Amino acid sequence: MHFPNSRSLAAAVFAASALAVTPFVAHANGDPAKGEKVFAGECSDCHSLTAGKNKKGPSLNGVNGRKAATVAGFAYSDAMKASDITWSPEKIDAYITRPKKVVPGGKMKYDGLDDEKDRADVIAYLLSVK
Amino acid sequence: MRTLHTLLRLFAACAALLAWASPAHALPSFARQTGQACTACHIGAFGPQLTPNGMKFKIGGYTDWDGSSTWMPMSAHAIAGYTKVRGSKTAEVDKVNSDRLNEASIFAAGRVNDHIGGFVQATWDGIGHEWGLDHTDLRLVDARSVGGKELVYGLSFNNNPTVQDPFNTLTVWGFPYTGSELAGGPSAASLIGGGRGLEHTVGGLTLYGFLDNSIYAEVGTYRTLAPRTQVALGEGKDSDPGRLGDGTIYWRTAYFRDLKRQAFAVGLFGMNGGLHSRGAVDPATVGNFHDIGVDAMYQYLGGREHIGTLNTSYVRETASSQGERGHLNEFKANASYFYRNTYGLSLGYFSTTGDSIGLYTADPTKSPNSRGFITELSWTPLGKEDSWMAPWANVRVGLQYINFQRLDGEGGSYAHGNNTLFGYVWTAF
Repeated sequence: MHFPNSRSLAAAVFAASALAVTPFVAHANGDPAKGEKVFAGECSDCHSLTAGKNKKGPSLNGVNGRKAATVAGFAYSDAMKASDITWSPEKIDAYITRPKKVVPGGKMKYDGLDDEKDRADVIAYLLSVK
Repeated sequence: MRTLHTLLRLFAACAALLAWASPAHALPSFARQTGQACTACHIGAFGPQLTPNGMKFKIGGYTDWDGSSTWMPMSAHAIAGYTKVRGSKTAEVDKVNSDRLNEASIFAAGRVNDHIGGFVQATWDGIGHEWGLDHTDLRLVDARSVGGKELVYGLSFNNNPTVQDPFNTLTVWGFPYTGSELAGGPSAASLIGGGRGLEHTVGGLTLYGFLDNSIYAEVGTYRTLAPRTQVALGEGKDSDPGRLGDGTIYWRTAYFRDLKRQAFAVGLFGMNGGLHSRGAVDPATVGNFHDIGVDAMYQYLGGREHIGTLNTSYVRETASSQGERGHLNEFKANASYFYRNTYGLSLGYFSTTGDSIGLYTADPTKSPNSRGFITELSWTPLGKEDSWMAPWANVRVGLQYINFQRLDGEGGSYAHGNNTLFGYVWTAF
């Protein structure tokens, strides 16, 4: 049986750690300008970035740091109300990757955004909008 | 038959419910109901060409909403235009070179609850100067999980085959999306293509399902309304197409993919029906019809700055009447480009070929063949999220030209004489 030497093991642990934190790094490195286009293509039909403007989905203005299901005037699903999520870049990343996995029973009709770079860009854009 | 009459009465009751539920003081629309801009559901921010979001809204029975709107949408639209037919300088043709109100409609349109929605359109015909019931599509919908996949399914009560179709490739919602009421066109068309006058003279019930946002299937049947009912709904006394037989079947399947920044669909569809003479209906216009078609569409949506669409369909009809049997083939294709959902250019091609039988041509020495091109430029300044008076005020200004290469078997000056320029202003609110 072959055992990796300590240097290889350290490299593997580092690589695994890097993979594990990839979403965190990715959104930090996102490009807001590209994210605006991603938002236009993926999100804008159902979400506005104007405060108080709800569509089929709630306004995403100031979403970072907001507790889920708290936008006034929007009728959330029971699942979202019970999710106890406070939106952070990491939570947003996980949610838009697979909405139904993070909030089973939620009503957002969106399969998910697989492209990690697109997610990083759109999150950077969300964070840039005041 | 009794069941069908019951359904037709239910159809009328639902229409009345939609109209009754619309308070006169409100003018909301689907955009008001969902809180979305027109661009969310319509290519070019206006008109019937649907985005994937719009297709799903329609399949969902027009019931999606923003969770706070409390009134039933009412809408209206009007199309005014100038029509110039190239013509042969005869007095008859000169009469149609005019500027006038093409049509005006009011709609009761929207959701009743999470499972019932639809629209009822009443239209003032600016040429015939009369009101009539126009397109109507009322839905009963639900959704459930099947094998971990979402299945949206429902019933559509409607008054025109293909008015319920979510794609813009079939007859009712196909290109061109508006046109002059004065323009000429091919005399021959298939049953499903509107050639037998079923538009607004029938009542239909179809069952449909949409699995996993990708597989669409629909089947249903139609019956012609009683002649007196047709007249009561605004159709002319001579509009009765005859009695549709009990075996009339409409069907449609499609595979659809919404990739958010692009989308495509391919499908098959068809309609079989027998029309029987009754009353004053000319026996020469009735017969048995078997239509089968294939269609496809592609949309590039990107970041909604540059949008391109392609739509195409082909219908093959086999028809028989009074000992004659023949075929008709209809092909349509069109492409459009929109910049920022504001400036649009659309190009279309149409072709009809067929046999010289009585169902397709009044003169057996002529073929029913027609073909031509349609070019349209449009400007849609409103309809975006940040537009003035959004979503209440909407307008499109357009210029459309139909160039006939052949019309009803004739080319040359006859075909070109029907070339039509139509400049229009289309408003909706």
